[in-house]
Amino acid sequence: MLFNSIDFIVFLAVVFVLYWNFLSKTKNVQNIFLTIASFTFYIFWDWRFSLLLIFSVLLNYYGAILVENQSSSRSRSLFLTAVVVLNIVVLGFFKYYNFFANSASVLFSKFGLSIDVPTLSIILPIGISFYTFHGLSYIIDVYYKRIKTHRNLVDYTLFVTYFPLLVAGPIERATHLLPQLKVKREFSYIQCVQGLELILWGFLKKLVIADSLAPFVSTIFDNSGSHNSTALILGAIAFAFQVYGDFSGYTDIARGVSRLFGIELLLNFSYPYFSRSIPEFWSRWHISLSSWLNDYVFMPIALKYRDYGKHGIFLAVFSTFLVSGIWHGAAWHFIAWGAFHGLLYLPFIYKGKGLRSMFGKRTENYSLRDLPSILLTFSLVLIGYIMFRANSLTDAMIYYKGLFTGSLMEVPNIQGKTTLLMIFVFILILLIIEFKGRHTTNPISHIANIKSRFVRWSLYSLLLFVIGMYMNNNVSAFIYFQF
Amino acid sequence: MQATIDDLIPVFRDVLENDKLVILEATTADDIEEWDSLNHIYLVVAIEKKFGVKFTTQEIQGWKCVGDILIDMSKK
Amino acid sequence: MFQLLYIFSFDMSKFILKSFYFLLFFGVFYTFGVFVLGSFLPTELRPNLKHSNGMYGTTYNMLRDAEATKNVDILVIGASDAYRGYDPRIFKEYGIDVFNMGSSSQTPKQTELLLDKYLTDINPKLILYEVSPVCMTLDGVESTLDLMVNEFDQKLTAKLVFNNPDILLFNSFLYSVIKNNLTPGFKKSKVFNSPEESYISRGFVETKMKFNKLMKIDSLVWKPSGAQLKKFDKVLAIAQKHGKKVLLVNANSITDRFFSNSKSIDSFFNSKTDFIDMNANITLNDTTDYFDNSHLNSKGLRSMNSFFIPKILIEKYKLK
Repeated sequence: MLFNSIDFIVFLAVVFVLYWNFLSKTKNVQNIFLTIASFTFYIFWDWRFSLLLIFSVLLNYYGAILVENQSSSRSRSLFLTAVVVLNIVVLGFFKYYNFFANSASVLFSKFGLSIDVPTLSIILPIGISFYTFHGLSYIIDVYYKRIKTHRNLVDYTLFVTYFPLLVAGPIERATHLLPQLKVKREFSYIQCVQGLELILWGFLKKLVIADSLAPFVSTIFDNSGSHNSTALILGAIAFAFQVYGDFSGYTDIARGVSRLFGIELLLNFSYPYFSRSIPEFWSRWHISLSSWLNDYVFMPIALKYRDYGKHGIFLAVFSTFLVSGIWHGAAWHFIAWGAFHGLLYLPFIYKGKGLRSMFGKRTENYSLRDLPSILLTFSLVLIGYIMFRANSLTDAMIYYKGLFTGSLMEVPNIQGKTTLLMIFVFILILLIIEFKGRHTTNPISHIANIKSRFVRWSLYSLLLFVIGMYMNNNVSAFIYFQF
Repeated sequence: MQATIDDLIPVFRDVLENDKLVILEATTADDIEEWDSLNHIYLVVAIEKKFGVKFTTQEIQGWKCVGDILIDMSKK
Repeated sequence: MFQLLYIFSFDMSKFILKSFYFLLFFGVFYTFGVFVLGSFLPTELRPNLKHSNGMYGTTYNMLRDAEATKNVDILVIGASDAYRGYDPRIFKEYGIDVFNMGSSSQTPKQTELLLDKYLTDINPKLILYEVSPVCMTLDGVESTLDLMVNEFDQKLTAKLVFNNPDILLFNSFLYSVIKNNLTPGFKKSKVFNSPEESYISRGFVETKMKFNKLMKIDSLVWKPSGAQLKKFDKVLAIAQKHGKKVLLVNANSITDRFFSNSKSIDSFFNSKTDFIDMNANITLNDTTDYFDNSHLNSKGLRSMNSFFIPKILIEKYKLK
């Protein structure tokens, strides 16, 4: 069930009413019910892979207990490695088999051997990248003794399969989500209102901004050769806001829905395009993935190679971004995108005292002097996006070539310029609202503070009205579902 | 080797770039804003260099407060 | 509120009640907003609200004629081929009275409802269902909008929109309901006028004579939507209920040749009832007989009608 479908709204309403009114006696009843609801949700998506999901849950739950029970550190490491490898093999098979098979065939042919490694028609189980990472974070945290195993299979299953985050995150941690599941949630009117506000804002970003931009982005990226440089620039900017509206919109809806059940999920986006540097960008974009990679990839590597000074840090940063690239997709252009961002850290690593943190400082105090660095950062992000969105590295090269040749004074050669202009006005309004609300996680949350009910309800109605009048019906799936 | 809190304080102040830092045996990373993940590694490197010791990953991951560092140092 | 408290807790009752009141408030707000936006914004700035002329504007004339027509020989239903492909003047030469109730991109969802309303009065001896394979793959939003802005019968309009849940249709319908109640007859001012096309009579539209610039066509696979297939059967069922014979016809079209599974298209229609594929019956010139890849120009039309009427309608179906 897509979030923007009648099916989901009905499902949500039913689960909401049942949960709070009949199935909230104890925390166990609440969790069992939510787990059943989550599996129902998943089966709606793709029942074939529910067994795989169950396998992943059991693997990490019992694997963590096994690791915890070991007495020697050697056997702890051994069991951890075994379980981690198993997780990665499963993920790797479904996601990357064809990529490796194709690349191997290409490699063989470069050596003059015509061996065709057969590719399989493998379907990607939905959410696999996300629930695998959930499980890995749990068992690795147990290994590092940051947490003790939680001996309640229902609680743990819910932790991994909780339906708001099952399909596209945020990537939760045992330290953040499990404690909330261990206690009974109480109904809070305010929390529900805040949840609805998040859902509203998320739908606005997704349906009005992201979906309206989608056809333009497709046309420009699928035919970059026949567009002039102004059109190509607009295409990149359009994609930047499409992916932001799509993904941050999805996360807002997920977090808002979760709030309706009294559970808070991790923040995933914090106004990324206001970043003044690339490290700051990564502290604001897909935060749950960045911090996962920081804790489980970057830190171990940086620690291991700490004797190599700045070179060791660079190795850690670069490897982490390669992993990020691969995580996003089994294709060279994703890996190139990751490598590109890794290289952008070079000045931060080698200048002065070196890198202070994978994530730049995140403050909400801005001055006019920040404008050049904001624009520079955004431009670098745009350059990376071209690699990310293009269908292949070759296509990306064609895009860059078109971008840097040709005059910027030309009128963009795209259809529907009026519509695109209108959407850009919406983007401007979005940026203004976000900037004004940057001290809170949800920029429209201050509506709830307005005294007059008439004004409050009018503002909510206005936002819903904008959705009704400007949503684009023809595009549905969220971009991050393919991960 | 025997080390005391006074030996560690200058290292912390230097790496975390704050001359006013107060470090006690009970101090944890949560107590000090500058003590984040990457600075943690720089701290480890600085301590290892200054005192000629080497910690294992297990030991490092097990530290909950400054006192734990001193304990592991005394084992070397 | 007190009734709610029997089942729900206080906080939850408050939440449900407030949500209900909010929805009422929102309903009023939304209706007002639709009216304001529809009245003052130019059409490019309101992508989900369309209320001016539909696709080509001839639907208005067709529906006015349909309201006034009774007892014809042949009723043609379907998409664009149904209002461009059967010239009443040529049919008149053979003494046959035909009415074209086709409209742009009409899909079975709309055909079913139009028949429901008009079949009894128009009362043809034979129904010619002009089947357009492409239209059966569409969701029918464009056609619904086209009919909706030109149809006066609000009950029929409501049914058309209900058959096609879509935000654009919903908004446009809401606007037309408000406008109709505020200024009744606002649709009456729509009259069709274009240099390229002329509305002749009996639902027939003639295009200015021109030749086809053969554009490249990509091969496609025909994948009709399940909902449309169901409605297609419903159309046939309605005809049967009224005791009317249906003849399925696929007019000459260049695009149809590019379906890779054209055999299954033919066998599908053959399995339903009598089916004539005009592409197989006469050969026409791709450039001089068509004005675009899907439609015959007046020259091609005369050739097609002059074959179709005597050889198929009269000879095979003993119409006269």
